[in-house]
Amino acid sequence: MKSILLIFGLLISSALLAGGYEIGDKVSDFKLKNIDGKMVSLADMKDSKGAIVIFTCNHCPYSVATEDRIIALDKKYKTKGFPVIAINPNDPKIQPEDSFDLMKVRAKEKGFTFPYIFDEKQTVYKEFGATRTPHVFIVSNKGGEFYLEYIGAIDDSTREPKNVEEKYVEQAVDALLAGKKPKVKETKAIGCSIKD
Amino acid sequence: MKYFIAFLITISSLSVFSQKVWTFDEFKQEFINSNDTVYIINFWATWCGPCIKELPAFEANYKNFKNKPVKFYFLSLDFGEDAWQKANAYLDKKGYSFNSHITTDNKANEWIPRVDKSWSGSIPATVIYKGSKKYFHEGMLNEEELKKQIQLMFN
Repeated sequence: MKSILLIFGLLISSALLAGGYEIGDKVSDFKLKNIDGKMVSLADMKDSKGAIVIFTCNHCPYSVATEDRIIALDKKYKTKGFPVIAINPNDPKIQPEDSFDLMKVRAKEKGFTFPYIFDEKQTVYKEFGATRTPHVFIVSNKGGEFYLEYIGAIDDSTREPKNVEEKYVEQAVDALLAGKKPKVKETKAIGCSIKD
Repeated sequence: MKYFIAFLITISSLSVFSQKVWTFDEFKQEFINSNDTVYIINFWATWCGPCIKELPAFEANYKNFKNKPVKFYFLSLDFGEDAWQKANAYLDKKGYSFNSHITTDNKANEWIPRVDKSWSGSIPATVIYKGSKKYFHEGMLNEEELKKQIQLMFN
């Protein structure tokens, strides 16, 4: 019996270790430091309909290529109840350009309109199962609890904005705003590996 | 004069050919075509730190398997009109024995799963083929691991 329990326990822990939410999962809250020094958590968003959580960073050219699109998403959807929360998951010891101080610099240069928070202990990105930057997770708010609705790319052409044909994140948020589930719930895209 | 024009056309078509921006499917169709050869395709970019770090492991194995039916291909995700020059100038400068092609990230949601269902899209990533056998790895590969995976393809 003991060994069965042990095997069962191992199975559960390995499932947890494999990590990463799936569509429909409840997302645990996090509390991370924003570039303005204040802590940001999902609990702060209890009056919003959801949030567009984007793992991104300063150094990655694929992140840089989408900065303007991330600002546009925030401007378009913040007032409708889906603000952007940007999270830098990288270890600045490996990628010095992704330090907390340089996050402040980059946010100011680009005029970020959203929180840009630092996953300093590198635990939040693992919970989400983010593997690259940029990597988007859209959550919806159901009575103060947040549920995962979409995982993936902003659109279908990260490198060349002019070639974009499908705006996955906009389609997903528009569906949620209309009280529906996103048609496309998961997409893949090229990106920089998270530096850990 | 006739020959000179023919020469010019050849040169220009060659350079267009070499700087073509490949889709993964086109590339695979063009280059991965023999059942007796091990093909290694590495997705990389000059701006990608871990990609650059693993290139020496590829160089070492390029030399290890020089006399074997093993072909190495590099598909760069560098940016801009000069992406091809950027990628190849880097490889030249570092003295690597291989060069790189350029690939596009357009419609990545469609072709990434065709490289491998498990690939989230981060680079570096490496896929190895021989006939119907396939090996895929997302993240860096070291010299030993790469060697082992190539050897396994011959078993």
